Amino acid sequence: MKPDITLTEDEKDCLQELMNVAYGSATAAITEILHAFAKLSIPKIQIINSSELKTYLSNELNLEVEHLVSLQQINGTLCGENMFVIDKQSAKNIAYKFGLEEDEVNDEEIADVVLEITNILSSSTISKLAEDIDTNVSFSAPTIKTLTSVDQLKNLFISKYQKVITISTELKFEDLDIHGELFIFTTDNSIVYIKEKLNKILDEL
Amino acid sequence: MIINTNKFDVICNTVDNGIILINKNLEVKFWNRWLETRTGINCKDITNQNLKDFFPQIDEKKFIRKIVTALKLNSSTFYTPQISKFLLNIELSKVADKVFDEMQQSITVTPYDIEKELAIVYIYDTTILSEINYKLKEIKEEVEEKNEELKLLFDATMEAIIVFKDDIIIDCNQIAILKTTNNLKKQGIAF
Repeated sequence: MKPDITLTEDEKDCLQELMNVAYGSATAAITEILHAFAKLSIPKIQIINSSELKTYLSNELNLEVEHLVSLQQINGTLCGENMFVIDKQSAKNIAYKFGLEEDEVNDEEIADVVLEITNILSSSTISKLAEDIDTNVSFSAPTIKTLTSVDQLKNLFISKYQKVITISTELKFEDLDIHGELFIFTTDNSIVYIKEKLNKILDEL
Repeated sequence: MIINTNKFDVICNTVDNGIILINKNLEVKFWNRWLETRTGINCKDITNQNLKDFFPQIDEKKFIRKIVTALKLNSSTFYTPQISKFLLNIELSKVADKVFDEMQQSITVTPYDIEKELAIVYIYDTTILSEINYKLKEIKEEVEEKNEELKLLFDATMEAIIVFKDDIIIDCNQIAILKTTNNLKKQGIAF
């Protein structure tokens, strides 16, 4: 019998709560590292068929302007991939937040700060979530690509799985126009593990 | 900091990558044998010295940022060869079929002691991979150029050319489109 890889409403609510806490620690980390007040919107959690991921991303992302997409693999029991998508202008503004001067901002530096912010978001959110559900994770070095259409995102990693949990949020800074979206994709085995841990938490309530 | 000769020392000095123990002011506290042989700088000469004095080309601001971020997050930060070619300029001794003058590197900065603000820098030699990528990129550009030339040639000829694969048309030139369109029109077939 195949394991159940769907989440009930209660499990979804519980995961939402855990993600709210995890995103709180990500906000604190960004504020501390960049000395700038950042806001992450309430995460939106969905479980979708991996075959529908491309359509889902086309609907979620506005790819009329050039975007940078950074991907970072999550390793461990809670495995999957983090994807951070940001438009070029917002990425430029993040570079200023990282203390880069006008003459230092070029394509390479912009890509580097996007990789850095992806790493910060991945580490702070997923590490906190992993801690809450009793497991350890590690992260691979993130990679980056420029995206003008969803077709360019050939994600073989995701196609191996039936379902993916997508957790999306928006990153906003108070004083500078920066808008980026973080997606966390987890895999079938991770969903089974998350379900088990969520039920343990729910039973203890 | 004095590192005793123990298992830690043996592992660090036999592993096939560079290991630096460094603080956020870029003072080196440990420098493994891999780095000694690649850079010609001995551990005792660089210990308690500023790394920037030995490698002035290092982007200090960026490197400190990576160390501070790793310490604050208690998680690794990275330099990827996709963006940064190397952290330390280590000249390659390779003579034949040389693509890069310096060793291409992938870097991981991992927190070691948050209180003492110490981090470990792991340096991986990714030159071979970068060379393969570089050569593949060159070949890809060459193929694209040839493909463009072939396309121009196809469109310049007055003959209709249709390319089939497994009984399915996969490509054709402009003349083929024109001739097929005219034939269909003559037969009164709307499309």
